[in-house]
Parts: sequence; structure tokens; C-alpha cells
Amino acid sequence: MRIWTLVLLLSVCCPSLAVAQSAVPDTADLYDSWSDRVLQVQVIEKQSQSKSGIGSGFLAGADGLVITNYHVIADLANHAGDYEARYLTANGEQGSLELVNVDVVHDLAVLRSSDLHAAPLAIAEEMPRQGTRLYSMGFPYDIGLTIVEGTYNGLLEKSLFERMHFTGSINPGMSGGPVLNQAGAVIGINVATAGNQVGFLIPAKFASRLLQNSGAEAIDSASLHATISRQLQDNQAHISASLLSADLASTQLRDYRVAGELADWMSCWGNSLQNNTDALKQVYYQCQSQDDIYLSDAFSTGIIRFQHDLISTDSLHPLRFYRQLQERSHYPQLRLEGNQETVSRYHCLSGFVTHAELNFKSTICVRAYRKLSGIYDAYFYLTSLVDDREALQSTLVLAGFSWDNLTRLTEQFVNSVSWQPAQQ
Amino acid sequence: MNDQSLDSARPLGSLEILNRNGQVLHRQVWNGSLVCIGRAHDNELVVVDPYVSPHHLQLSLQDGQPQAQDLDSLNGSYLGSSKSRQSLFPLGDGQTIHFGHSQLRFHSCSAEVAPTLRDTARLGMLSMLGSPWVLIGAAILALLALYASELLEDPGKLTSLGIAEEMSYPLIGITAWAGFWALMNRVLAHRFHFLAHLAIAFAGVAVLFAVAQLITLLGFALGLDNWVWWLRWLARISILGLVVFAHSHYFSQASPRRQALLAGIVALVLFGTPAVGSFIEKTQFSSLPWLDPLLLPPAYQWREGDSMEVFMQRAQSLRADADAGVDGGERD
Repeated sequence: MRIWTLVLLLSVCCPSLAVAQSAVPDTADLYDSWSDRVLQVQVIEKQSQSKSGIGSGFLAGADGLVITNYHVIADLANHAGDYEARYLTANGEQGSLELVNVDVVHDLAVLRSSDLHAAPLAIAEEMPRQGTRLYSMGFPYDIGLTIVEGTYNGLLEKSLFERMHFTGSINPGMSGGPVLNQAGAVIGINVATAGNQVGFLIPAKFASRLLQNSGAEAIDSASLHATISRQLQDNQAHISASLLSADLASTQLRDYRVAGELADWMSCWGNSLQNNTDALKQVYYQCQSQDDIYLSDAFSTGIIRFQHDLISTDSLHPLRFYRQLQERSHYPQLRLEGNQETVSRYHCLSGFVTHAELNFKSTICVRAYRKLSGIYDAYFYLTSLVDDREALQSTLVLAGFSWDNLTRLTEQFVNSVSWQPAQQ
Repeated sequence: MNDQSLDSARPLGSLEILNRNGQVLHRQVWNGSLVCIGRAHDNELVVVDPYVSPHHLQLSLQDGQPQAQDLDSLNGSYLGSSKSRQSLFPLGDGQTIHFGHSQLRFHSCSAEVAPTLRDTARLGMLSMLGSPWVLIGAAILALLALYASELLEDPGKLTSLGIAEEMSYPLIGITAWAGFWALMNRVLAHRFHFLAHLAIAFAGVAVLFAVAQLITLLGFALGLDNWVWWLRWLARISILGLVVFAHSHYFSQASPRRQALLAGIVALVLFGTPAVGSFIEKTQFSSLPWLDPLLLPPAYQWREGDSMEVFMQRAQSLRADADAGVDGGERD
């Protein structure tokens, strides 16, 4: 089970709002009417016959289809032979589940059980108004079915994928559980928490789309990988198109113009460092996309990260200075997950690149995904060869892109670098 | 032992007294006159061996042929590897008689002697290693190389004293290396010549550094980054091989081909092993890329840079490599 945790530095004040609502239903009645359609989803390791992960899910379609989060059943998707899925209802009934479909981009999965015959929960097609009272259900910490009251507080602004902000306690084990309005329609699906009553939901429309595209049969391993490949391809094509459609946003780093906050779903920050123990000064600027796509505990994709380091020295001889830059290159600033099961090793190439009368020493390293054909990760690294005592070192990391888009984005990244001395 | 000449007449050959290990203890000219051999001081050849009788053997000429006679000694006399005791035996050229824990050997004047060994420490190019100026010159170059190496590694943290301290570790290694070869020299050629071996080691360090810098310079200037790993290890192994050859050639009498073979094996073991380790590290799976771009100041760039489009076209080969890895080419 995986719960994403965001660290939010907020000064929270809690104005006491006394909003009179007429005809607020009794939560106990709501619990009674929905509890038979909310399940605990268990992923069982076959040899030990013990739970390797738990989450929640709900009946949401004909023929016993169950919606949960992809991250709840990722072990089953990645190692179908080693794991199996089961459900547990609030009143203790158990049965087996089989994987029918996934949407890794939106972190959703569809399971099916032939034993479940309760009426499915309805899925709302429209988003609620901000402030709407909602009810999240699930099995937190494996302690039984729970209903949590909260409010909807709009869509996250800095998110690549639509995410709803739910003010209410979502806890580990509730992932995949439904969030309903008073009428009993599913508005969203629990997916993550930042603690302190800050929770995140997947809009129910994505579950509805996934159900429409799901058959009634269990998906085999090859079809599953083909599905995931297609989803990642579509997602990277969408991201790339939006980034390549215009010049990249840029920012000034002393005398260099470099790629900046490319989109509102990227988060950027910077600082300057002067290490007292050596003669190098560093100004850095770093950006990364906010919503990685979870594929397994050890592997996420759909990532764009980059970092610009402006390194300078007052005292080192140029030969010593560039030797230090070379040493820095051995220790990548940005890292990607991945193991032998998921990706090939990196293959690298170095050479001189000239752009806009600037010379760079560039290195690109590429690795391919093992089960998801046509998808690559790239690690691009450049050092400017302009000044004897100052150099720009930029790193671009792309995870989960087609070769063509990876090439275009890397070229655009370099093309966005220029020498523009700041006006005094 | 007595070393006096037996006669002033024309010598017949030489007599040697050897210990049980075959080491010659004494050699003297023999002109064919009667020679008594034993522990007593009135013998012509006095042997210091408690297992030899006071009057053990006598040598004489019978019809122009050397002949040995045992003088009823306690432990007897034996010809060559024979186990049977004999009292009278002819002694041919190069034959040995065992008596007590010693041996007697006769060589006629016409017997061939082994070719003269060439003193490589005094002759040829390596003879200059005996000069203190060569040692001083090599030491200065090596110290400069080590200092430059430490200076390049250091990001401005170290004082001169700190750099000197860092240099002390390789210097200890160099001294130990020279000591090892001096010891080999002592064992195999009975001479130490530590300073000469130290000069070779210093020269090796200086050459190693100079070649490494040359490879870096050319690799960067010409954009040969992807070949530099190979060039570096090739240079290291070659230079170490040359250093080992110089050490061995300084004292060994083995043929140059055998010495080159030995040098190659030593170099491959000492540097080939880490080279293989580095290659495995470079090519095995890692979640981090192996980044090893060469970087020197802009003035050292001699080759024009490619446009980004051309660079990415070259990178197409990486795609094929990565796809091949996925298809089963990589099993780490």
C-alpha cells in the first residue's frame, strides 16, 4: 500500500464557520445504506498466504466490478503469478478478485468478483461546488469500515492530473475507497493525504471512463502491459505536445537564460551555496513535475525534472576549476527509480554541442523499459564551455517518454539556454 | 682452506670442493701431482667437514688419467650418484666424487665454461640508473606529478601541507615497490641497488601522470570521450608493464622475451584486474547513469561542436543499444 505524502508548510488558521444546513442526513443512515458496497481490497502473497498490501474499493459497475487505486494492487499487476487479490466486506464476507483493467495515469484499477451482487454505487458526472459536504469511506489501518465527513475544496491548481482537494481525514488503508455526496453518488476516489485533514481524491469521471473501457474478463499479462504502454504513450504525448507547442518558459540565472517553470504543474525553487571548505560557489535552480505516475514500489514514471547549477570560483586555476566540474559530473544531481526488472541499464554518449554561439560538453544517457515497449528514460547533462571561472551545468531528466518526444524535449531544453548578460 | 698453487708446471685442470648443495667452496689449479684430501692439516687440500676423515682421498695421475683413491676413510667415497662405496676410480672431466658431506669435482683445462654474464646494471641504457642525478631528476618529476595530481583533485580545501600529506601515501607505496624490486635483485643477483629501483619507480609515476594528462587533453580537445576509458587503461597497463620490464631487466639474465612476458603478466594482474572491475561497474545495471564527460577549460576545445540535432542523431545508437538490452542482451 502506498500513501503519498506531501509536506505543506502552511500557517493554518481555522475560522469557525457555523453554516446552517437544512436537512443534513444522519451519517449513520448513510453508512448503513452504503456499507455493503464498500470493500477492503487485500493483495495476498501466494506462498505465505499473507497480506502484502491492503486498500479499499467499491462496487461500481455491473457484473461485480470493483474500483480501487492502481497503487493498491500494483504487486498483483506486476507479478500476477506471485499475488492474488481478495475482498473483505464490512460484515466479514470474503471472496477473490481478478484484475480487469487499469489506468496507471490516474491511479485506478478495476477488479471483478463473481460473488458480489450488491447494487453498485452510482458515479456522479458533475463536480460538486466548493464547500459541498462529502463522505469518504474505507478501511483505515485495517481496523474496519469507516465513514469520514469532510468538504470538497476545489481542484488542485498545480497538478498535471486533475486532483480534488478534500478536507477530511483520509488515512492509510482508505486508498481506493469512494467519496460520496449526500445523494449517494461517488464524487471521487481516495488516493492520497498530506495529513492535517488535507486529502486528495481522483475525480470520479476517470473511474467512469475506465469502467466504460473495461470488459468483464480478467486481463492477461501481455494485454495489461500493452494497456499500460498505451496509457503512458498517450500521457507523454499529451505532456510533450503542451510543452513543445511554444517556447519553453525561461528564467535568468546570472548571465544565462535557462529553462524555467515550464508549466503550472511544475514546482521550482532555487538557492545559492558557498561551501566554506572549498573554493566553489554554486547558484542552483531546480524544477520538477508534481505528479509522478506510480508503477510499483520501486518505480515511478511520467517525470520531468531539471536542474541548473551555475558554478564559479574566484581562486581556482581554470584547469583545477574544470577538473572539479568533471568530478561533479560523476555524481548525478537528479535520480530516477528503476531496477533490472523494469529498465535496461543506461547507455551514454558525450560530445561537443554548439548552440547560439555557446559551446557545451553534453552527455546523454538513455535506458529502455523492459515490459513497456517504446518508452524510454533519458538523462541529459551539459556543461557550458564559455568562461574559465564560471560554468553552467544543467541536468534534464525525462522518465517515460517516446524516443521522438525525448529527442524534441532535450533539443528544446538546450535551445532554451542562451547567454544574456543581465542589465546592470 | 689452503689456496696455494700445487705446482708451477702446466696445469691439468682445476679441482673444486663443493658443499652438499653444490655450492663451490674452493677451487684451485691442479697440475697432476699427488694431492691428498682430508680434514688433517698436512693435506694438500684441507676440507672443513666433520664427516670427512683426516686423510680421506688422494688424487694422482695414472697413465695420464686422473684417478682417485679412498684412503680407508670412515664414511667412504662415491662416484657421481652411485650408492656403492668404491676405493679406486678414474675421474673424468666434470665428474664428481661424494665424500663426507662434501663433493670433489675435476674440470680439465679444455672444459667449456658458461658464457660471461652481461652486467646490465653497468652496461646499456639502464646503467644510467646508478647515477644520483638520474634519481634526483626522476624524483623531482614524480613529486611534481604527484603534487599536480593532488592539486587537480582538490577543490581548494587543502593547504600546501595538506597536499604534502596526501602525497605521502603514494610516496610510501612507491618506496615499498622499489624495496620489493631491490629485494628481488638481492635474491636473484646478489645486489640491492635500491636507489636505482627507486629511480625506475619515480620515472614510472611521472610517465604515468604525463600520459594520463595527455590522454585527457587529446580526449577533450578532439571530443574522444567515449574512447578515453579504454585509452586510460591501455596506457596504465602498458606503462606498468614497461616499469616492471625495467626493474627486471636491471638485474635479470633471462631473455628479453621472457622478461617482457613476465612484465606483461604482472601489469595485467595489477592493473588488468581493476580495469575489469571498472568495466563491469561501467556496464552492469545501475539506477544511476555512468557519467564520465571530460572537462577542460574552453581554450582546449579544438573540435567544433555539433548542432543539437546532429548530436541527437548520433544518440540514435543509444536507442538501439537500450532496446537490445531490453530484448535480452543484458543479463547482469
